[in-house]
Amino acid sequence: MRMGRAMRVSKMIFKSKPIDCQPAYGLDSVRTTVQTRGQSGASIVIALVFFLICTVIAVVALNAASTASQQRDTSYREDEQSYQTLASAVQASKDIFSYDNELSKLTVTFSGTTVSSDPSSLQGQVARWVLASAKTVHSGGTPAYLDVSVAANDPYTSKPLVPVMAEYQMDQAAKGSYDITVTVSYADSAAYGYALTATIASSVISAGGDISVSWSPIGDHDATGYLLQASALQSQLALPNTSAGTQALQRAFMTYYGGSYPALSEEEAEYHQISSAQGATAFVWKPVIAKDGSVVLLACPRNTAVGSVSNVIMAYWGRHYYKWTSASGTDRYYSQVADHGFDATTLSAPSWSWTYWDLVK
Amino acid sequence: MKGQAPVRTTAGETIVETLVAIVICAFAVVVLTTSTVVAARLNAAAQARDASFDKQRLAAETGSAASASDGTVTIAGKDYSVLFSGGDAVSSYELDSGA
Repeated sequence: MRMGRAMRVSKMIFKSKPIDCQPAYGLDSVRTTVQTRGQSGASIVIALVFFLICTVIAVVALNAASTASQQRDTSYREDEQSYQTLASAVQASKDIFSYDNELSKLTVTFSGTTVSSDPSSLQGQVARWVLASAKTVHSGGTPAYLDVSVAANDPYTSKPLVPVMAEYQMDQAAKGSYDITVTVSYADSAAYGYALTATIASSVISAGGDISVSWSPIGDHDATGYLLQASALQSQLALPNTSAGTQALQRAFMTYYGGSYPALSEEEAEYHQISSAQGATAFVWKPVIAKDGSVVLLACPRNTAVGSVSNVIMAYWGRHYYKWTSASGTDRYYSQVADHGFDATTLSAPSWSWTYWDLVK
Repeated sequence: MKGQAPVRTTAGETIVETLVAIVICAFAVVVLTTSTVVAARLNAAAQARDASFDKQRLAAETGSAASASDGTVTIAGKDYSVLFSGGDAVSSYELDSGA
């Protein structure tokens, strides 16, 4: 009888029947009212509420963990890779002017309206475009754009990176400027609608009515301009391959640059790890006429006099930097070089001695 | 008898109700504990992936030679040797100066 009443009460709770507030016709009705409204006998309801709260907390925790993980996995990584792809492409499109043999050696010389370089001798599409654009700029025209594709295969995933387009433009915004702007963007602009731009600086040397143009092979600054200028002075002044010729070249070179040799840039100083105490400006570029008649730039201390034997820490020749290196690494960092008779072939030749010219860049 | 308070109250719950409530509570605790453990594992895995990704991104941005891998880029139909840095999540490349 007791169990029977209890079972009925539980059944009413489970089935959520409407609360029966019938007046006291019997003990069952009274107990139902007490159990649904009072504290006693509500353990199942409390358990269900506790279960509900735990479930909600669990769902929220799992959802937060999985959402954070997925968001980082997809959106962020794709954006980062898209940027790295563009940044790599724009740098590579610029660096081919340093590492492509044809482009790094391309010097366009104008003698009036005559151009020294022959377009048919150039193999690369970019090199032919550079020559044609330089001629157009020289004649006062507007050069055409060049659109090329840049494609790479990722060795880590064995899949190709999303192809991008590089647009080369030789801008004549400033008269006499042959600088090249390369803009890289995705072929499908709907996916990532932004672009990266880099400038390939040109070195323009005017000597005796001739104009020689080349494009900087290393970074934003290197010694190409100085070497071209020294070579132009040597040619212009018809300097002989003698000690007197070298000294005349050095005087003309200093006069051209305001009475002193031009200093090394910070980047060039880092090639030889010149200490900060000495500083980059403590060293200057001094030209010498080498044994074979070519001009070589030597990095010497600032107080180097014309017509002297100099302590040379670095040399620039053939668009490359060479530093005087000791195999032991501590005893000597410079070589004493006379103003005449320097053998430039030792720069590119392999050395079997303890001290040698080491290719830096 | 009517109107007289009982000596021992009959209000309360049956053993079945109590057991059911205990089972529900236990199930709720199991669900919460399991979800907490799973969430912690997800976070740990995500942190591990983030650490790996950050390492690859740093290598890609600095062009680290430690994890460099040879590759090729084609510009205007001409192939150039490049060095890839980074990993399978993110990578970059630069022209190989030794090529």
